[in-house]
This record gives sequence, C-alpha cells and structure tokens, in this order.
Amino acid sequence: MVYALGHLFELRQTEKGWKYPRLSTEWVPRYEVDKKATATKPIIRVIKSISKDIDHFVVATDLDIEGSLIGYLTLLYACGAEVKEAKRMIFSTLTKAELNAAYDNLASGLDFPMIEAGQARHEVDWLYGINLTRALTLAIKTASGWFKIVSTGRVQGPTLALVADRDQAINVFVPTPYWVILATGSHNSHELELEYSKKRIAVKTQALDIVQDLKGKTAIVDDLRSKKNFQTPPAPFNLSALQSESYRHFGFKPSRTLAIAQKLYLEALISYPRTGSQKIPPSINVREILNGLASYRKYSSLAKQVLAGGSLTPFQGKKDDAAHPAIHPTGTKASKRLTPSESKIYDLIVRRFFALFGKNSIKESIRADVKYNEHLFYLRGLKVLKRGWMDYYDPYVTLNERLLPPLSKGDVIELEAVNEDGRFTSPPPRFNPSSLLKILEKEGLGTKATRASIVDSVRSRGYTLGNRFELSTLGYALHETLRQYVAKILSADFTRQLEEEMQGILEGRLDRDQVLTHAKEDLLELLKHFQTQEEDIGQTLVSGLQRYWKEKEEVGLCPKCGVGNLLIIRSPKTGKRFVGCSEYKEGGCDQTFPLPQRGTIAPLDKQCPYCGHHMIKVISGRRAWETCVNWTKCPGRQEDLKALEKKREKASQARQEGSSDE
Amino acid sequence: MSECPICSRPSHENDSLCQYHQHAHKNLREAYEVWIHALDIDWTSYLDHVYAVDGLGSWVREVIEHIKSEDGSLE
Ligand SMILES: [Zn+2]
Repeated sequence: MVYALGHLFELRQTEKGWKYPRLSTEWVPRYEVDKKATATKPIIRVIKSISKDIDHFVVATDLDIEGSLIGYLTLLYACGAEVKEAKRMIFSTLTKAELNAAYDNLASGLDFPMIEAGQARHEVDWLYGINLTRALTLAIKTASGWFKIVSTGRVQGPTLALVADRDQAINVFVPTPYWVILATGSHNSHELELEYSKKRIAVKTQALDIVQDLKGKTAIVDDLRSKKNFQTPPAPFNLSALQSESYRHFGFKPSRTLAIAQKLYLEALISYPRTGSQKIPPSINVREILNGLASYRKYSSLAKQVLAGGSLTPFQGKKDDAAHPAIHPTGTKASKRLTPSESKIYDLIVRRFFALFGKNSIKESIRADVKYNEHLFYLRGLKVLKRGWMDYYDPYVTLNERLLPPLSKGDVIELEAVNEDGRFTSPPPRFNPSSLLKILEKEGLGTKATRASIVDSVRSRGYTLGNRFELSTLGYALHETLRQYVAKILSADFTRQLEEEMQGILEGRLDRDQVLTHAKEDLLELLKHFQTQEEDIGQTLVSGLQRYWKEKEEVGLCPKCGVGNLLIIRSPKTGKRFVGCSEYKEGGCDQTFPLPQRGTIAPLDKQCPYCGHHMIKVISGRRAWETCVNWTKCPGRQEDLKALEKKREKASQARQEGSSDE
Repeated sequence: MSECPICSRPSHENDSLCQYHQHAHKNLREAYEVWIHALDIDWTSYLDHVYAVDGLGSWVREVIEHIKSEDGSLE
C-alpha cells in the first residue's frame, strides 16, 4: 500500500518558451514543474519500484473528481499499470469497518467519467490560466520592459468581477435620509414596543406630523391574529452549509473550515467533507453512530435521548451527490486530543446530526393591529410552543422569542413615548469569505472543492486590501483592463458554460476531446483579439500598476498574521523606511522587516526560493537587484550580506584614510 | 488622453473626471433630489450633511472634497 501526496503529476506545455498561445500539454511528475514539490520525487520513485511485482492494483483515493484523477494518473505514469484492469475501493468514512467492507466489495473498475471530467478541468484551467496570465504579463513587458506577473484564470476572472462590482457600488454610494417612528405603549402596566405600519417615512415634516398626531393618545387593539409555524430540522450538512454555519458561529473562513473538516475526516471522526449532498441514505447505520456518540461524556445524554426516541429516521435535505452522503459523525472515538478549532467543528457536526432526529419545532407568531384614527401600529410576538429538534442543535439555534401580554380585541393601549428617529440608507455590504463563497456557488462558478481556495486567491494576489474584499488599485487596474479588452474572461456565463460542459462529461453526455476542442477554439479567439491590442492593454495595465505602487506600496500578505498586508512604510520619527503589517494600528500584528534605505523599491509577485518570504526589487542608480524582505535573516542571502558588510568596511576605511590624509 | 483631477486615472476630456468619479458625481447629484424632498436643503449644506454620514462612498467623498476645493467648479 502506498500513498500519494495530492497530485503527483501535473500538466506541462509540450512546446518550449514562455509565450502564448500554448495549447498542447502533457502530464509530467510534479517536481519537474513545481520547484517546491520536492516531496513528490521520492514517493514517485517508491511507487515505481514496488509496482514491478504487483499483479493487481486497487485505487483507494477519495471518491471525487480530484481523487479519481490522482489515482488514475498514478496508476498510468508511476505504476505503469493497465488502468482498465484496476479495481476501486469506495468509501465515505475512514472507519475500520467501512474500509474493510469497501475492500471486500471492490468496484469492478475505475470511474472513468470522473477521471475524464477531472482531466478536462485541469486541462481547461491550465490553458486559460497559463495563456491569459502570460498574455497580461507580456503586454506589461512590451509596454514598459518590466516583468510583473499579473495572473488571472477561468474562475478568477468572474470572481474578480463580482468583488469589483460590489466594491464600486460601495464607493459610489450616497446615503439618503429617512425617518422611522419609535413608539412604546402600555397595557395593564406591561410596556410594549410598537411598530409603525409605515416602515420608512421619506419626508421629515411628515414624520414630525405623525409624532404630533400620536403623542399622548390612546390606541385600540383592532385585530388579533395568531399563526402556528412548524419548522423542520435543518438539513444534513453539505460542505457549503457547514462552511457558512461555521463562519456564522466561529468566524472561520471557508478554506479553514474545509481544512479542519479534512483533518477530522482523516481521523475517521466524520465522513468525507467535500460533498454536495444533504442526505443520509439508509445504508448508513445511524444507530451504530448514535451508540458510538453515547460513549462520549459530552454527548452521552443527547445520544441516549435520540436513541430512546424510537424511529431513527434522519431528516433529509433536497440536494444529492452521487459520490458521498451528507457530512456526519462516524461515532468513532478520537485517538488524540482535538485542537479547540477541531472540537468546535466536530461539535457543530455532531449536534447537527442529532437535530436530524428531532421532531418539528412549533412556533406561534402573533400580530395585533393597534389603531388610532388612520394610524396603524403592529405588535408582534413570537413564542416557541415546542422546541423539538432545537433541543439537540443548541447552542447553534437562534430563537428571537418575543413574548406579548394577553391581549384581546378592543383593549386599550396608552401611547407613552412617540418619537421620530432620523436614519440613512446604507451601502450594500462588502463581501466576506463566506458570502463570496455563497455567491460563487449560486452563480455556478468553481466546484465545492475549489471555491474556498478561489476566494483566498483573490486576496493573496493583492487584488484586495486586507481581509475586507476591498479592491486594491491593482485589482482595479486588472479589472478595468480585462473589462475594456477581454470582457469575456470576466463573464460568469462564459465560465458557467464550461462548468456545464464538464458536468456533461461526468454524466457521459459529452467527451473530453469535444470539450477541449471547444475550449481551445474559444481561447484562441480571445488571444487573437488580445494580441491585436497588446500595446493598449499593456499601457493600461502599466499605468494602473504605477498608481498601485505609488499609492499602496503593498508587498503582499503578512506571513505572521495572515490577515494584513505588508506595506512599505516610512517612519515619521526617523524618516527611515521599513516593511510593516497593515494590521499594526488595530493593535493586531507587529511584524516588521528592515529595508535597504537607498534606491527605489518595488514589490515583486513572487516568493523567496530560500525562505519563502515576499521578494522585492531594489533599483539604485544603474544597479537593480532582487532580494526578499527577510534578507537580513534569510539563509540564502548571508553571502550577499557579508559582501555588503565588506563593502561598507572598505568604504568607511577609505573615508577614514581620506580624513587622516587631511 | 487627459487625467482625472482627483485620482489621475485617464478621463475623456480635459478636467473631466474618470469613469469612477463621474459615476460618484452623478449619484451625488441624483441623491440631492431625495435630500431636497426629505429636508428642503440647499446644495452647499447638502454637501456638508452628506459628507458627515457613515456609509458615504469613498469616491463620492473625494468628489465632494474636489468640489469644495475647486469652489464648485463642477456645478
Ligand atoms: Zn478619478
């Protein structure tokens, strides 16, 4: 048995040159393409050597597009196996029992539609990512001679457009005033908050008139209505629901939730997290899971309560996923202590699972119409009559209960305080990682496995400022250029069409060659159009970049806090420049790096090969060199530092000699 | 090509705003209609009032600063 390390093979162009268009690719070991992927080399070697005496192969990677592709490529290029004869293990949890069962009941062959779809996705993403990034970068080089990598891709384009549109709407927003009527009344010495039927009043004098009319008056309960609402348990978790609930309760960004869930899965504590399903199929032994959870001190009483409840039929959601069920606990005990974040996610998943066996909750909502002449108020009450599943899902339930005193028609309500309150309309909210992820899902952009990293990449490439999805000048420069010259890359429709074609491969309606040919035709047309305007595109990007560097001096994401941006800052006291984190003033992050004090500095979009820190370019006089912000400590730059020290010594010696001559 | 006097992005005519600040300026003028209706307010005090409101877009804020510094040349 051998493991892979994510992808062991990656695409590489077959023709040479950092140019575009480049349309033909081959799979090669990852370490040949990605200098950082050195760990893949020994693994490929081991797989190759033990594959020699094997008579049959079983693929046991994750059952999804990426997992199936990893298994296939490894079989094909590392094992040299006959892929048509390989068998497949199918499982959704890593519990011993399920793994044994999966091995005893091997699927007869590999899931070729998934593999084909996966290959198509990699190829199409490669084609668009590589060619468009080169086109943009070379346009800048032609226009200015600078080499600054500006990257975009098939899904990144529309994601950038979403963030840019929202950012613009916020930046051009003008608040307008309106007034609300705030009123309290009393009934049998109960204080009551009244809601004026007209929610917003657009003219101040009208609001004042209403207040004048109502002050000190007595209103009458004119009508009373109550309604019982039955609320089913929340659906079983799929990945996006888990991500959004985890953001809501713990503030974890989606990629973090996915990483934690992945750890819990590898510990055999929960089922496979990259699922779209909201269903717990009958094949899952929920009784056994509940029995397992009953042995946890924390969950024992709830688990027993569920088990005693009789029918163990979990509530099902609507969405389905052929490969995996909804995310659920396995009931297995943790072999090691969970970290606080892991415990949080695990607790959320366990309680959500319990909730599936709860009865509907019943809420009663009451609305009383309270009238004085033509003025109408509402009194609203909300009461939980039966908690049902809420008992299991606590503390993740939001109740909003509001109790009213007993009221009947004709009751008198004294209006005690009536005031107008001036307010302003507010701009649309900025995206946060969770809301951006949700809109990507709604727009059909990316997949459940890729969305979280797409959300992160918008930030890590410097297209936004800090953690708030506020577009940076660089983000604007790129968005403007793309919109003006190659608007298609920003279009959600265009990307979605490709996603649908890949779904077609998965369902066996389309084959990979068809989809690839189509994608290449579209891309070539785009690139041809691009080439004819390369100079204009380059100029637009260059002037955007100049503004960007001038305004922000952003070096990149802060390695210490992972939230702020490293900025080139000049100390107001000493006048010396250094690199500091943008989160500094919020009392958050004290990360700083020293900078050379002479010459101009331009941040580069790459990392130091020795220490991984951000790279900068220093241009002093006619000399220009690249170094990292960590240059004083970087193990790869000590030679440079020594040389610098020597030069300084020489210079100071020369100065001293010069002065002694005098 | 000429430059936006506020942000130095390209603009179409001399002294005219870039597309973003133009959009902000248009919204500022349109919202004035709502403010007059609500408060019966003149343009100058409108600018003072709206400038102080949280939620005012940053490009609109820059346009107001520009109007004030230019003594209403965009009027
Ligand atoms: Zn402007």
